[in-house]
Amino acid sequence: MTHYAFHFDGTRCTGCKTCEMACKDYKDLGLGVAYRKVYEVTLGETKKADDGTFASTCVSYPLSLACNHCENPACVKVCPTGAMHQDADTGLVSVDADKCIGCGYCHMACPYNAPKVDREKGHSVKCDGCKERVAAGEKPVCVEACPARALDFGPVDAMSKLGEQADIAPLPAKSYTSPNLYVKPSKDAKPAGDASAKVVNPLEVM
Amino acid sequence: MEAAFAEMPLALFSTLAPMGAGAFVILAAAFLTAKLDAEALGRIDRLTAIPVAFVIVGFIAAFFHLASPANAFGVFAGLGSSPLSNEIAAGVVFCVVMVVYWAWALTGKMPEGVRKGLAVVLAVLALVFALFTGMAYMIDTIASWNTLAGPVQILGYALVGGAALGVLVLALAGCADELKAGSLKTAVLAVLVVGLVCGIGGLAAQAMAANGLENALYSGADMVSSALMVIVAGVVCLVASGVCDVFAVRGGGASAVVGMGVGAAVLAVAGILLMRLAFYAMQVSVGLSMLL
Repeated sequence: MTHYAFHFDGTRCTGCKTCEMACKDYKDLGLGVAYRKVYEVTLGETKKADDGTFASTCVSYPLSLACNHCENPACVKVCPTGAMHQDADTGLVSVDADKCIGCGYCHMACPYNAPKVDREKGHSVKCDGCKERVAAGEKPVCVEACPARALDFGPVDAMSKLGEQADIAPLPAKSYTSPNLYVKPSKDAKPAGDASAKVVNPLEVM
Repeated sequence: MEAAFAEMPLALFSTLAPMGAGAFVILAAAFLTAKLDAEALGRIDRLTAIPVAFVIVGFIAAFFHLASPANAFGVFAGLGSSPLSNEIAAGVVFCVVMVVYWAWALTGKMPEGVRKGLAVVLAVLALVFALFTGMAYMIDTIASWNTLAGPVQILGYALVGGAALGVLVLALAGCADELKAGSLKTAVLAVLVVGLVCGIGGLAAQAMAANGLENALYSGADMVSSALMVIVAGVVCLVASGVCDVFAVRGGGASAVVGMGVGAAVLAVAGILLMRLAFYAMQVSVGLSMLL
């Protein structure tokens, strides 16, 4: 039994969104649906001084995020039909389309904005960790597409050596779901739960 | 507030179904306290179609929320673990007992003791259903909903809305005199007061909690601010519904009592629906989640 995790290196990510596009291409996703998204996180302020000059503490950093295949997934916990389920061997969380009623409960509960109800398909959709690729010994397509090597994927033991567990704003405290995401933050990044860091591209990612 | 309107099917479900269920609290009180002859009971039983319709229309509205209603029978798989499964199970148990009671009552052959017993069971199941409906929103990753104020609100709406529907049924059944008799009048007023306190107090407590929350996408204060006028309008309608009920149980001409009953029911639907929409508008996640 090997549970898998993603690694995100905030010191390498440029926010180019190649990961997002590679996923959309591989999964053949239409407009308005993306399983991996890049959040543009901004904080700080710009003030005008008495002498007319401006000083700014504004910083921005990208965060590439998909389903974190949590150890204690909120989406699985609330799902009324068992459609949202976790593979016992790999820990990967996916949707059984034949069971899903499309109630959106998983979407409401997930604090990582991973599942969405696709009303055309009639069920929830989300990142499944490219489970068929993982079964074939490959990494998820988003990881392999990243030109800056800011993403990685592998057994939890290996990924946990590369960073702290989901400790970056705008993510919530890891205690809610124990996400399988290990992050090396950029120097400007704030820790998880710091509400001063705002998502400034909500129309794109939400 | 725009996102809240997208939840209209659920807002209608959580307005109409608890209202219809709550009416059985008033009917149980009537059977236990008032002296009703067979003709009056027959009229009440036929008019029980009104609260039954509210419950059924509420469930139908909920189906419009689903992307794949054909798989709906699978919702019991999560019984015990999923709050939504628990809610639907409580609702289905209530509906089964309601249909059995109503069908039996319509035959005109229900013994008085059975009627009283089943009506009390239905009243208790109605309150359980209302509580489970509210508890379905207690999700630990949605900070503004993860509070007992949610189930308390729905319980309140079931009582206020149920009082309005119950009074309407009794008024239409020509039981104006029984309504103003001491015991039933006291029971209706008690249900009304508890309902108003729970409904308005629960929403106010939730709004105050949401006001102090914030995440990377929005602030709870902004959400409460945008919902404030809807909350005020809902509270005004709910209180006005209660006032109509008070006038109805004070007595008067039969048509005036029916008029007050109709007014109470219409105002209760409007008030509860507005307050439910305000509830959905105050969703503050601990992370990155928002209603769309």
